[in-house]
Amino acid sequence: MFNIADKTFESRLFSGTGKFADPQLMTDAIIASGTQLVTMAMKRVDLNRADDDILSPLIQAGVHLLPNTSGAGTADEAVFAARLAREALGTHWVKLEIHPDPKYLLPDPIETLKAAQILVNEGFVVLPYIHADPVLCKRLEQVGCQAVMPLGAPIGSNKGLKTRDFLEIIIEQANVPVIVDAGIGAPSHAAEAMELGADAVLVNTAIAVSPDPVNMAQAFKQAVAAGRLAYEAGLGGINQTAVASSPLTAFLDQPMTVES
Amino acid sequence: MKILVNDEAIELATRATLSQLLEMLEQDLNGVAVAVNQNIVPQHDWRDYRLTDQDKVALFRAIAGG
Repeated sequence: MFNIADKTFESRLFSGTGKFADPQLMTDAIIASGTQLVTMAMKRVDLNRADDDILSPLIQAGVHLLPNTSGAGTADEAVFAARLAREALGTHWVKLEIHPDPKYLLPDPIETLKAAQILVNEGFVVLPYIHADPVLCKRLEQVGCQAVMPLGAPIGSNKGLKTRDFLEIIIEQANVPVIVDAGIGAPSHAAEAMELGADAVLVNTAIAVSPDPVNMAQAFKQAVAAGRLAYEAGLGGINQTAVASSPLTAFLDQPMTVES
Repeated sequence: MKILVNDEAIELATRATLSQLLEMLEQDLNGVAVAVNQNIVPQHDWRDYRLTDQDKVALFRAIAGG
């Protein structure tokens, strides 16, 4: 169990709602994942086209909603998106993401810090999506962010924890929960993040685009639980040379006489 | 009077309210937020909010995302 702001979470797996083939599959996968917090995005309504209703099944599933500011390229746009989301969903939680470049979708640290400051002052619970930058994480913590969400690799890339060494520094230094977000492409990546001591991971693409999202959601659930358990149990140290697990050496040194 | 809703021109009775406009648009209002001229209008104000000629109304909806 862990807390972010006023909420307690049993599950350390957060999920996204994007890229699923249909709302039913999304709902089934989210329920199978055991997640209690899912992200959503805001967009301008197309008056001539009805959107899938994904809100009702999510509310029915009893998960908390975490709207994001995806699509924002500046602090001002992100603040506007967060205020819209607060109106639309009745939550003051926001995943702050500002990525001006559509190719790599890497977050803009300067705009993110600016927007975080404004949103915290307006009473939002701000979870910023950022590069795995330990200094930026401390700055965001100082302005009042309730968690940080450093990336493992670019969004949707499924590359795993390419930023591992920096995630370790962030986890070591953080006084707020660290949620590893983006790039987690396999349950083993999620387990790795949890073994490092991350408080949670956010997984969307890897579950949504699997040919079997429901089973993949379950695989992630188990990997996150296993990784966390391993972290709490404590991993053994790493050695350059072998360290025997069986006391065979002395026995093998004896000259052997075999009688038949 | 004429207003713009998400860049589409719409003819509306003078002094129509935001609620009346939204009814006319027949949109599912679950998870929707509305801004008029870039200012967000809270849901509890929709009934009393009177639109004026040339207003720019923007409708946003929570959708799937990561």
